[in-house]
Amino acid sequence: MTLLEARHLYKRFGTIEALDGVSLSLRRHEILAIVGESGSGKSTLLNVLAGREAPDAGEVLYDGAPIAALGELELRRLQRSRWGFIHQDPRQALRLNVSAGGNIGERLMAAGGRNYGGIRRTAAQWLEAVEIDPARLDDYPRNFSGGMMQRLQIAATLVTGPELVFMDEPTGGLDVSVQARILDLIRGLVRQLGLAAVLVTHDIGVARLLADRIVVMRRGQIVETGLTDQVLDDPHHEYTQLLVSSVLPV
Amino acid sequence: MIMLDASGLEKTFVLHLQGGTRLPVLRGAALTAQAGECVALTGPSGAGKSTLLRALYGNYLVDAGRILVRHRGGMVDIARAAPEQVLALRRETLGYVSQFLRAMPRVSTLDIVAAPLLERGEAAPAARAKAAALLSRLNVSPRLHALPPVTFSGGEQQRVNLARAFVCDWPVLLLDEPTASLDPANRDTVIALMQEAKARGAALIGIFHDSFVRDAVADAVLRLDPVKEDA
Repeated sequence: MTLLEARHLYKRFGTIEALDGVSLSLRRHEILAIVGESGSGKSTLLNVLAGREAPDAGEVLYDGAPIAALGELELRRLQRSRWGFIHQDPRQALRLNVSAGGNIGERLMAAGGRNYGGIRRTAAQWLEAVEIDPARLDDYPRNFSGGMMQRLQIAATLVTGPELVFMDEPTGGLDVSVQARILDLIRGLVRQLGLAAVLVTHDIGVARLLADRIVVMRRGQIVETGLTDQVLDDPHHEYTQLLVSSVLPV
Repeated sequence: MIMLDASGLEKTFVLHLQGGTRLPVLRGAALTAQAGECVALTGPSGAGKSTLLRALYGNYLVDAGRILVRHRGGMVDIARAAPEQVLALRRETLGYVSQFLRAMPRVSTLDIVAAPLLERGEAAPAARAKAAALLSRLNVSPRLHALPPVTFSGGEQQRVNLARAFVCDWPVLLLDEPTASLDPANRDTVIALMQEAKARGAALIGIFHDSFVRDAVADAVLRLDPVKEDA
C-alpha cells in the first residue's frame, strides 16, 4: 500500500547537507507533514520527492518504480496527471494574464480534455468547490486577493484528479483569517477526494490539523517521526521538544 | 471477555530543555478491562493517571510493556502497532474523551460530533441525525448545532466533546474527567451514557475525581502512586 518511498536521499548545496540520508514512505490516502525550521532541508526534500530536483544519491519510488528511470516527458505527464503541486506563492503556478477559468481549463486540456463546454462547466464547478463565485470564471487572477489566488491554485491543481499532492507552505504568507479558510478547504477536499499528500510547513498547528503523520527535520536529517499526536504531545527528540514548546498558546 | 490487557508499562519523560531532567511516571503499571465493566484510575495528582490513559490510546509512547486491545476479533498491541494500525484502532475500537475540545475554525458543531461516524463510513444524514440527538440529550441547543464551537463557553464545549465521544459505540472507551465542569443534570446524563455503554458490552477506563460519578459507574479501582526516584 506504499505509494511513495524515499530511500537514503542525499543532496548537498556547497557545504550544506540539505538532505543527509533521508528515508520515508507514504501510504495511499495518507497525509504526511514535514516540519522543521527554515534551512532544515524540508523544502529540498519536497522538491526531490516531487521529481523537481534530483538527489545526489538515493532514490524516490512511486508505486514501486524509481522516478529517476522515467524519461523527462513521462515524468512531466506524471506530475501533471496523477500528481499535483501547491506552491506557497500561487503566482508560481498560475498565469496571471489568463482568466481563472483558463487557468483551470489549461490543466484539463494538458490532461487530454478537448470539449470546450465541458471544460468550462468543470472549471465553474471547481471555482465553486474552492468558494469562488463561478461568475468570476472570466476574471483575471491578477485582480484576486492573495487568499483567492491560493484557492484558485488549489482548484487548478485538483481539477485533474491527482492521487498525490505536494504542498509547500500552502498557507504561508496569508492572513490568519484567510489561512483558516484555506486549511478548512484543504482538509475537506483531501478527505473527500481520498488524496495522499506530503505537506511542508513550519507551522505545527497546520500539521496538527491536516496530517496523519509527521516527520521532523533538522539539518537535513529526520530526527523524529510518528503519528501527529504522538510526536506533538510526547516529543522525544530535543529539537522536537524545542519546536513544540516554542508555540505560543492561545 | 478481556477487552484491554496492559502490563509492565514503563514511561519516563526526558526533558531535554530542562537539562535532560528525567521524570519517571509509570513503573510496571498493569491493568485489565473486561467487557461491560468500568475501571476507575485513582491516586494523587502526579501519580500518572492521565499518562496511563494517554498511553493506552497510543498518544504517549511507553518505553516498555504491552497494551493488548481487542480489535477485529484479535488482540493488537498498540504499543508496537504500525501508525496505520493505531489509526484503525482509534477509528473502530478505542474511543477517548479528553477534558478539552479541539475546536476547528469553520467546522460546525454538528459536523465535529458526527465526524467519528463519518470516518467509520456511516452515511452523512444518519451520522448527523445521531449527532443532533446526542447533542440535544446533552442540552446543546439546536440553534448552536450549525455554529463552530470555537466561541462556546467551556461547559458547552465540554458537552460537544462528550457528544463526539459517545456518538460511536466504542468497544473500549477511555475517559479523562468526563464530568469536570458539568452541572448535576448533565453529569447525570453522562453517567447514564456510561452505563448504557457498559450495558452494550463496552469496557470503560476512566479518571473520575467526582466520587459520586465513580461510585455510580466503576466496578473496579486501580490505584496509582507517584513513582519514587530510586537513589
